[in-house]
Amino acid sequence: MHHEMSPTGVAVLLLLAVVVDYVSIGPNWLRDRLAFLMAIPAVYEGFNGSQLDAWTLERLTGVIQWALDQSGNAYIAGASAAAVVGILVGAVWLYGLGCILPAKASKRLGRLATVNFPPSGVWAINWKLWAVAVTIGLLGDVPLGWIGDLTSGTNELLADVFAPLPGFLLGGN
Amino acid sequence: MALARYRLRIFDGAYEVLHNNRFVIDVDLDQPTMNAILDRQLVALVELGRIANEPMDRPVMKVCDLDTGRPVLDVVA
Repeated sequence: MHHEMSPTGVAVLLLLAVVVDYVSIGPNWLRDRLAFLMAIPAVYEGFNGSQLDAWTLERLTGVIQWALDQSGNAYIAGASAAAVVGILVGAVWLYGLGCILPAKASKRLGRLATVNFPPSGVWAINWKLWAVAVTIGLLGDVPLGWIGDLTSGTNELLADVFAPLPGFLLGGN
Repeated sequence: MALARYRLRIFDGAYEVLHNNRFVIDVDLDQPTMNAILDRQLVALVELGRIANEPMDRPVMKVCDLDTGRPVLDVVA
């Protein structure tokens, strides 16, 4: 995997995302979106391909496989658990997209654009935001095809966009 | 403000329903009679939203300027 940021940069970006979320820095429309957009590349660059990633994916596939086995001899029991995980990651990505889009866009794009992260006050971490960001960052490479292009493309695009930020803020590399 | 013409927009929360329609009303926003007029419009627009199969859980009606479309007044139930 090609890394856009150095490990120091990843750590800085991750802490920056945590701080923006925890201290609730910024106006309402910007704050959660900025924390989310910074969290995704930090998790992607920092943890993708690690043992944590492999363990998470293994557990998730195990749960899906168990659920498929529960259906006995139904035709759907032969479904690929990896593909089901892929579609779930795609659904989470869609939820993240709805949260990023401004509510004014709902006139053209429908009610998805009105979805928002749950409100969280000062001195509080928005757990749902982080759950979505970790899912997209760690598991974004699981789906294949068009949805895979969307999720892994998002990861790489955000990594490219935020790569110079730690250097600007703290200097060095 | 004297009697003027405004455009009404109906929202469910942040989502504008019936955005292709153009609801226009003549009302004087300085007179207290505007409360009853706008309330009746709100009820009618909420009903139209429900007919259009939109869930109207948090209806908000915005009284907007006719030309620019900028909201002048917000009316809730």
